[in-house]
Amino acid sequence: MEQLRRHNRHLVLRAIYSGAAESRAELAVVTGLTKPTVSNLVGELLADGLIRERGPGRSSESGGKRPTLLSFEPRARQVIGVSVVGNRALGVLSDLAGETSALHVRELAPGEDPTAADGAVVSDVVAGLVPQLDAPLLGIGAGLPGSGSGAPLAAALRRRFGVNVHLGNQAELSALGQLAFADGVEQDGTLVNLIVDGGIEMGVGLAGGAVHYGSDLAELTWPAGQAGDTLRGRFAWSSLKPRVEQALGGEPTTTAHEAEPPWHSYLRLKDAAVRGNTAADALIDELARDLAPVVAWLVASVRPTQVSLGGRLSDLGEAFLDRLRRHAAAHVPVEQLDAVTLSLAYSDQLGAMGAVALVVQAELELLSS
Amino acid sequence: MTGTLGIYTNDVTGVFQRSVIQGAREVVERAGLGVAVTELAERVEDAHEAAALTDGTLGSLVITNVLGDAVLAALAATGHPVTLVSHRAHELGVPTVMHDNRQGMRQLVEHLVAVGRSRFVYVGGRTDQLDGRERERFFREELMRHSLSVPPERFLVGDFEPALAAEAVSGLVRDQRGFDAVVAADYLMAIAVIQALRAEGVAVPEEVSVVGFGDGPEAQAAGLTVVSADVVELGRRSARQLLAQVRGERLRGYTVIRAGLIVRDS
Repeated sequence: MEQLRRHNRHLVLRAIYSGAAESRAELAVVTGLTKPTVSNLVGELLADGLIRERGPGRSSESGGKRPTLLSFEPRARQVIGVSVVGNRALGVLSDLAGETSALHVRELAPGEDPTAADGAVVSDVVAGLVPQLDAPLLGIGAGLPGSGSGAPLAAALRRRFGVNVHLGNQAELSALGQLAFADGVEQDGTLVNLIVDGGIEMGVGLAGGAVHYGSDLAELTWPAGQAGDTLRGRFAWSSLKPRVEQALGGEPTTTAHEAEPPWHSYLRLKDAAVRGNTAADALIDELARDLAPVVAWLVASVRPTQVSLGGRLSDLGEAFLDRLRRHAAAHVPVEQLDAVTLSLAYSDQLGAMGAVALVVQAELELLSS
Repeated sequence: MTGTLGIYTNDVTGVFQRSVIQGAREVVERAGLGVAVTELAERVEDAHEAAALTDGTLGSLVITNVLGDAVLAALAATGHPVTLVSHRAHELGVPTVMHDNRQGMRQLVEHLVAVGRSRFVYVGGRTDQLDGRERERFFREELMRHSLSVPPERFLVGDFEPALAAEAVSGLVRDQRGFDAVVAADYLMAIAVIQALRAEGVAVPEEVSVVGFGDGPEAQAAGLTVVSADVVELGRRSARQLLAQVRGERLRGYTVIRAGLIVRDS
């Protein structure tokens, strides 16, 4: 009985959230529940603050009583989403619509494992955001590298913070985060998110984020069949850094006061190429040529509507996407390639936003179709 | 819980400092605790002074860099709760609350590019303060992202002093006019820049757009386009972090408060 009630409650909430119904009468039609049941559930949702009454609507054509219109209240709960980006763990404090009010960042100590069973790293990030809560915490989500189950970590977090915890693979959650919250993403499409950030990870989200999965491509031998060279070897910052520095040569540093962190060197590489540095331009073209077969393979096998490039490499900008498309055309029929939008996701918060989406989906069943 | 939290600043009359203190005071007093504000004309560098300075308080809110690293390290070693406002010392394990300089600068530059501006002037803040350094760095990054360039003579020194910012911009206008946008590292300098430009006969926003980082009633009154990094709110958020520590939470890392673009008439 309790499970059925919970299911019906989610049905009603989702109908209001999606705009499918705006009044109790419409809810009864859309959900197929009886009017007394709808009224009860609406009462509960109002009491929980998840919906609000926003005033009278227009009366029906038969001239009946004007219905009270209902709206979803995204600020009624907050969610904490955490992901690990490079050598730091980053958390976002978000409302149910993906509006963030604060971030918390915790650097990893050398050799520190963010997936360790005690959950110390993720715990620190969550603890940093708890004082900034403006509404009850709905749950905690975390995107972690690799594919471990993370069950002990989730249990540790649940014990400490007293809310449900949902874990996922980082690249997968980046795709989900974009489908759920990002502008300029076709929500009904299939999105492949390629994170090139030292290694290469792929996340796939289907139709509004209802299905999502991810995997690590870093150990794939590349080019296929050539022994010893992997995608990680190709795109690891440690092997690219000397070449980027060489291409930039005597270019002045761009920050006046602090040592340049590696994160921004792709931006400098792009900037140098725009200014006519031919070595920088050649290196960018080589990176596009090396990544093109991966993109072609994804396009041919997954048939996505959109491929989004995230991670540090996205700092190379739109011009890099044009080159990527040009080189990919050598590996896949042009009409397949033309059906795909290539885009940049130059945010380091996508994984954390995906973790938020995972919690909203699991706890309120709002984002699934 | 009863007791007092200490707030340390270099200048209790500065608009930024005053606003942080106002926000922090609201939150601390609502929690039933008292506030003791200490003005320190010079940055305290001697670790031996740490204990005397914070004696009798439950925790300390330190605005920017008014306590040196040695003092912060000494406080951390004794377990005295400290929250830094707009300053970082993460190697010492002292947590921080600050505004999102990266996202804020990105929004300011994107706004100017969207309204067709491309010839920028930057009025920088104090480079001995984290906000001053970060805002300039992220401004330069956004220039690269949009493939824009700004010649060195259009990076002006404002040091978060409105009078200095106004003087620098007036000097530039008399010398050359070929710019169409000014980005200032804080809103008080941006307001002074608008006045200086108008005094020189430059129409704002028709000829030159002016935007600033941070928000307060002064920016609203001046019709300034800003990222809404509200400084009173920064004070409130900082006090919340400090209270969590005073209640026994062990916090690590830094909290960044998000800011949204507010387009007004500049």
